[in-house]
Amino acid sequence: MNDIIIKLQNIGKTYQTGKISFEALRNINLEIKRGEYVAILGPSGSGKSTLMQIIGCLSTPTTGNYTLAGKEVGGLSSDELAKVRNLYIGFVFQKFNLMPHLTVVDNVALPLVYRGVNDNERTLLAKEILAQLGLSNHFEHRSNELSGGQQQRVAIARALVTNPEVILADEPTGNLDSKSGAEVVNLFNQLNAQGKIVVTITHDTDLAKHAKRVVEIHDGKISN
Amino acid sequence: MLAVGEGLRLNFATTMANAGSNLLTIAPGVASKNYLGHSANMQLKFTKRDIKTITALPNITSAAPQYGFDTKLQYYDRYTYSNFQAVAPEYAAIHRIQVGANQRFISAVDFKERKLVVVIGSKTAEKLFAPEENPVGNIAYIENRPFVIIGVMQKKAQTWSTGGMPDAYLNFIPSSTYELLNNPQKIDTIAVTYEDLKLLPQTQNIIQKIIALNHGFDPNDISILSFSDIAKNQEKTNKFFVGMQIFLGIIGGLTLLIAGVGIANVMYASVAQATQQIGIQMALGATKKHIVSHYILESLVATAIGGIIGMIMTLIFVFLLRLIPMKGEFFAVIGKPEPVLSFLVLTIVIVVLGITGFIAGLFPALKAAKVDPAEALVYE
Repeated sequence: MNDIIIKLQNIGKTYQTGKISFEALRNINLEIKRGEYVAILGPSGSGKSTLMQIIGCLSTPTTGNYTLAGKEVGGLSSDELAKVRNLYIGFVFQKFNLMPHLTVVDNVALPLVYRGVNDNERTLLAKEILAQLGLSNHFEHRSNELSGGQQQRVAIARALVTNPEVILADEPTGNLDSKSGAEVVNLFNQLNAQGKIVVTITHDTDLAKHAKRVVEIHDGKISN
Repeated sequence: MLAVGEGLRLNFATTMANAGSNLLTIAPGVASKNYLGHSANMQLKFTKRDIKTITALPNITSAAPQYGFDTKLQYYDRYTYSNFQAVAPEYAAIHRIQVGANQRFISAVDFKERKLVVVIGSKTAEKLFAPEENPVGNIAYIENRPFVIIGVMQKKAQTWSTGGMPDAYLNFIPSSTYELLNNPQKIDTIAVTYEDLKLLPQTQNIIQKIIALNHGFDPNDISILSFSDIAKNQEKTNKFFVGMQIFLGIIGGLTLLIAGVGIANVMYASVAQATQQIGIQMALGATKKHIVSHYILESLVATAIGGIIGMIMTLIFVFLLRLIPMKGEFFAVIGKPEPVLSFLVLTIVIVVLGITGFIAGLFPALKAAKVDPAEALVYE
């Protein structure tokens, strides 16, 4: 079995606004194997967010090939991409991106809705993950009733509930105090130890140094 | 809107039924062309023989001669000029005429014995008698002959009658009496009752031919007779009211359209506001179908809530409208229009509301499904 889960070959991404085109990524080659913990490090404007979108199947590259778990992602329709995201990727965002009108349990169960899991099973799985992350007391709370650290743990629970191959975290500690940030870092270490691929995208060298491998990106190119 | 239309239509159907259904009135006409010695423009005159022949035809239950005349009706020093119809006893049943308690319409005995009796219309009664007086049993004079008043017609809402005016203005005497007194040379009209409406065209055709034969007219000359058929009139009026209901429905529909545009606008705003959330949902694996069905459902729920509120308001409105006292000549004739929330109206409204909600939600939902998750997630 092939251990390379994420394989980017000569990836380029150009944004076109009217007559002005902007080359966000150039000639990116990157392979990430099962069980790796990778930090993609770069200042703002370096193209790291674009790279995250491509790895996360939120957008498609202009040039090059992207293979995720042995499957070419390039020619897929938006609905097929949605299914790929649901199967393989767990997103963790800087701003948590929880649904304000849903309870904690319903937020965590949301990806399972799109997978077609029935109501009872969804709730059961969501509660199980939340309990593992120490959020048993907050099942019925809304996200605005939680602290930033708690919200991010709910978001991580949501990313884990589908048991994805890859955890893709975009500045996961950016909106957290140092203590909560440390908890999140700790959590990522545990997840990686359990065999999950963790990819963090950050401009923060302190966060990046927790990863086993650091990929630096400047002006749309990998520099190391 | 639809409820008001339905009310008017149903009301009209009952007032039309009051004019008597399964009734065919036949009036004589004029020959339109020369035929076997008859010249064109020759006037047809009904005879007793025509009545007998028509009565013997299939699908005919009765045929009776009718005469109409205008004259003075006098009661002591009070009098009124009025229209009289000389009719058979069956006229009451055909036209659903009702007289007061302990009164009668022209009876079989009255008819057979050619009695000098008169049934007066409610309007005639108002003119000759004070409200506290009972007209029945009194003697009134028609052309200096004494007639006993045997009944006063009760008021009813009616829109159409043989005399061209509502029955309340008419007075009735037995046609046998009229024949005795006046020895008329021609019968004005023949009132025919029939069994089956479906067979009516054939029946009319046979009557046409047989009368023509009786008088030596051309059997194919349709201008020698004119038929007025209440059922057909009723159908026309009913069509008119269906038309009016459609018109009211269109107004209602336009209102709904505007409401639909309103809902669509709100939904567009809601989609725009939720762009980031849509992006998150998509990142978590929501397909276009999930997003579209979510927003259509939201729109349907909004429409349903609006619809329920509207329905409750309609019920209140219908209730209040029924409380308004509607009196006077006009309403006496057409009947009091009461809005009716029928099952059909409700079904139409629910279906139309559903479609409105669906369409109002569809376009914003399609817009929502077009959200690019990558852009939406950086959207502030």
